[in-house]
Amino acid sequence: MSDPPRKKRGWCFCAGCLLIPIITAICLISAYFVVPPLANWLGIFGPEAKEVYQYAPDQAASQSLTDSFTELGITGVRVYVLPIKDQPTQGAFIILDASAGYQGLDPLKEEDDMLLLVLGDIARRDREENLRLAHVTVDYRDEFGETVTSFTVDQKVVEDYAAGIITQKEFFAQLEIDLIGTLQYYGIDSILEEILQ
Amino acid sequence: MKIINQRKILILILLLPLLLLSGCEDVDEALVEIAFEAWAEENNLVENGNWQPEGMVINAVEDTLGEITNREPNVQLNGVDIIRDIEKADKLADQALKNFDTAAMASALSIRPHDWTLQEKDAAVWLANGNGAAAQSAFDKSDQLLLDSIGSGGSCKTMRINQLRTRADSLQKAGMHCVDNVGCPDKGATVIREQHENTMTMIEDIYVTGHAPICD
Repeated sequence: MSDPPRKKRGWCFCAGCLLIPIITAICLISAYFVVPPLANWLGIFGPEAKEVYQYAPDQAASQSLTDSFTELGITGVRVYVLPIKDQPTQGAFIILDASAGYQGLDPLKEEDDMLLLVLGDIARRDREENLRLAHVTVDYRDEFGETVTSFTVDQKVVEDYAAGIITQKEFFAQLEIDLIGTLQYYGIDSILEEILQ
Repeated sequence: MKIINQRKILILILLLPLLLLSGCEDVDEALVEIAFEAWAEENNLVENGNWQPEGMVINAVEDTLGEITNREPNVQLNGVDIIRDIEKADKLADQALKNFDTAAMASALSIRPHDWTLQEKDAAVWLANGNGAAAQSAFDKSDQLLLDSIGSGGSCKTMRINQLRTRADSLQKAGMHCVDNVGCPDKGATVIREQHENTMTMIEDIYVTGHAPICD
């Protein structure tokens, strides 16, 4: 018995092998680069930060919140309050800048109280001065001015914590931390290596 | 033990700001621990006291998707980059104001084209260069951007006063540099001084009459 004749694989087969991954790669690249701008244009995704915070900082509000830290004896902190486009609210960005002399809150005071004090003062100024804050975002910078990490929290959560409506634990649970950015700062490879050890 | 080490690493990485908020010398470990546990449990990194490595992966994927879809917290976190843009543009604009450098001012405006504070500095630079028409155009743009930024919230009168104070401040700085700077055109200092006086009068009028015409 002789073996049945082998089917001859033509050039189309090889071309098919090559084309499938190429077309897949093109589709993935297109999806990554084309879909987000298209979705933004169609209004499916929300606007980018550059558009949301395009207007000039509210100088009076920025100064008031910066004073909040200065009056507590905390140096190296500046606050920018930016209007949110097409919204009646504003976002507060607190820059804890080690390159400008930030060394943490006053260590002589009780830490828990100090955190509560700062957040309570922000909530009070927001209420009394009608700052219309929607969120508080914190950017911690190292002694070279590079961002170490950042986190954001809704102003409602800050108010609830300052008013004693939610516990400290519930407050921390509501933080949104820039996980990727933080891991990038520390070097994602070395951290993963340490975790996997 | 492994779990404890991993948790300690994550505490340091993810809650460094809180650690620093507590002061470097007397770190309240309990506060950091509470913060970490609450955050980690909420984000499925820890379950019943056990480290969940897949939680980190899920978080990273969610974060990436959030970046693409412009999820609200991601946009707020990206706002940190906008603050850097503001600082960079302000630095350029201050330098431009000092040297009456229109090219540097254009660079600042290209970073933050909708920021009225930069338009105010731009106007002062044009006045120092003896170009009244360009200065007036910058003032007009500043006014329009101010009204746009107020949108559906904020006190127009208060914002207008802040804008005019910024204008007066920019003009005063330009005037001071104009006296020192040999490159300032002949009438530059005079025009800037007149504009400064007009601005101060406008501020006074708002306080006296209780209303700002631009807000009507």
